[in-house]
Amino acid sequence: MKNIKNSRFLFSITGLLAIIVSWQSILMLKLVEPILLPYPEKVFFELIQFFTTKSFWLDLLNTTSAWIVGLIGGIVLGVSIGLLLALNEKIWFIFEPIVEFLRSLPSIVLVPLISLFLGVGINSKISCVIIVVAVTIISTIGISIRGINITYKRLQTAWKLSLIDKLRHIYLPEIASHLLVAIKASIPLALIVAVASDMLIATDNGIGKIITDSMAVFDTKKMYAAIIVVGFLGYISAKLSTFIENSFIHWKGK
Amino acid sequence: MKVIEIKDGQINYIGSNKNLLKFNLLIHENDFSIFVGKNGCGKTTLLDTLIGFRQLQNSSTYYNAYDTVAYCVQDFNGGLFPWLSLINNILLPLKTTSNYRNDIENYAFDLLKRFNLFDRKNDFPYQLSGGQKQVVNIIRTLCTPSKLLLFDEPFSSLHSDNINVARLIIGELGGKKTIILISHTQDDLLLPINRYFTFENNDICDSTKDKVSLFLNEKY
Repeated sequence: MKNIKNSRFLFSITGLLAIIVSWQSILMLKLVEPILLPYPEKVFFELIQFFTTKSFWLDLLNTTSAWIVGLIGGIVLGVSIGLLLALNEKIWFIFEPIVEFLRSLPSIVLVPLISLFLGVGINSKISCVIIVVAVTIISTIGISIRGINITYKRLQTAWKLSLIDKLRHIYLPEIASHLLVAIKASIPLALIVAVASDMLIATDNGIGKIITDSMAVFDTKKMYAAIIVVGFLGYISAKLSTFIENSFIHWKGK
Repeated sequence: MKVIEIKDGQINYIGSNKNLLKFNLLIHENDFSIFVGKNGCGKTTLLDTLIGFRQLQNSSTYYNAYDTVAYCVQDFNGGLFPWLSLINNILLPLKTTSNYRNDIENYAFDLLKRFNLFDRKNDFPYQLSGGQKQVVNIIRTLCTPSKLLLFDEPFSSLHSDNINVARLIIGELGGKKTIILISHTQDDLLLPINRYFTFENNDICDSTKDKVSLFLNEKY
């Protein structure tokens, strides 16, 4: 098992090195202008530079707080509303088209709309993330509760379970795996919306703001460095959510 | 005392106006009834009706004296909750009642021992074979605090040794609880039943007088 883990790590490192070598080769062969794709070491130095400036930490704090607060708020709101709507078939049928319509909307289009109402700033960003995450969670809860195993429905009817018992013993564990998948999908989605909000709303801080500002002055080293920071945040969160899913839903796929 | 009575009962196929069943049914307290019929004749549908999961057509009259029902479902794979250990699966119906009874918990342990599953009480359903899951399903039904026990083909995936143990244990409850057992084999007539029903031509026929006397006694 340890050998498998070690070789997996080695493969990951090899993949990363291959990308850096290809990147360097493209530039050495002059296939792309350095203004469009700066040398990897310059991007790396720019990254180091980031961590030594106070403004970068403010940008990082701004984006990550919108991302994390919005994500948590969206999950709480989504689970509450989702259960409220999905536990009653008729209510769900009334609201399902609205939920599905909102879920089908490209999440970015909500950003200008919400900034119209809430103005620029962190509140607008958090609200955008909350709405996008909540809609995803509501839809997942609705689908998973409506599609609950028919045998569980038979048993809860036979045992005359109360709503609390149904939720506690059947619905919540049954939808937990679907919910964690939705949360897993919501994490990068929330990051996309948080960064896009930085870019689309005229805010003073945020990683997205670094990207748009540096693009405006063709400071591509800075732009790539900021993109790598965003990618790293997404990667860490994806790993974390997979770990949480595997730790809690031990019965999944068995 | 009658505990279940259905008059002019009609059940249609799902999404259709065509009758699946058109029948009358009368069950007395502590009857041990067996219902035998071919696949697709409406056996599980009848149980669904008795637990309130499916409704009879409007013209039917229905009386059921029981509130909660102990139900041994046919789908033993889907019938156990994968997030609960065996013992927690077995005790779930008990835990959801306001009156937790230690005697039922002890009975659960005793039954697990009789089926050689006691050492695995903390395992999860996905660690068991199909037959073992069915045994847990039967034990849970026996440990559900209810006077009405429904079994939907409970022995279909059991090894003959376990079938004998299960028949013996269920038989011990004959005359003490109202039991309805669905089967598609006449082997289950070896149980100490006092009522025998067959599904014929979309009807449920009380064949007790014809059959039970042959197997058991001259009571009817």
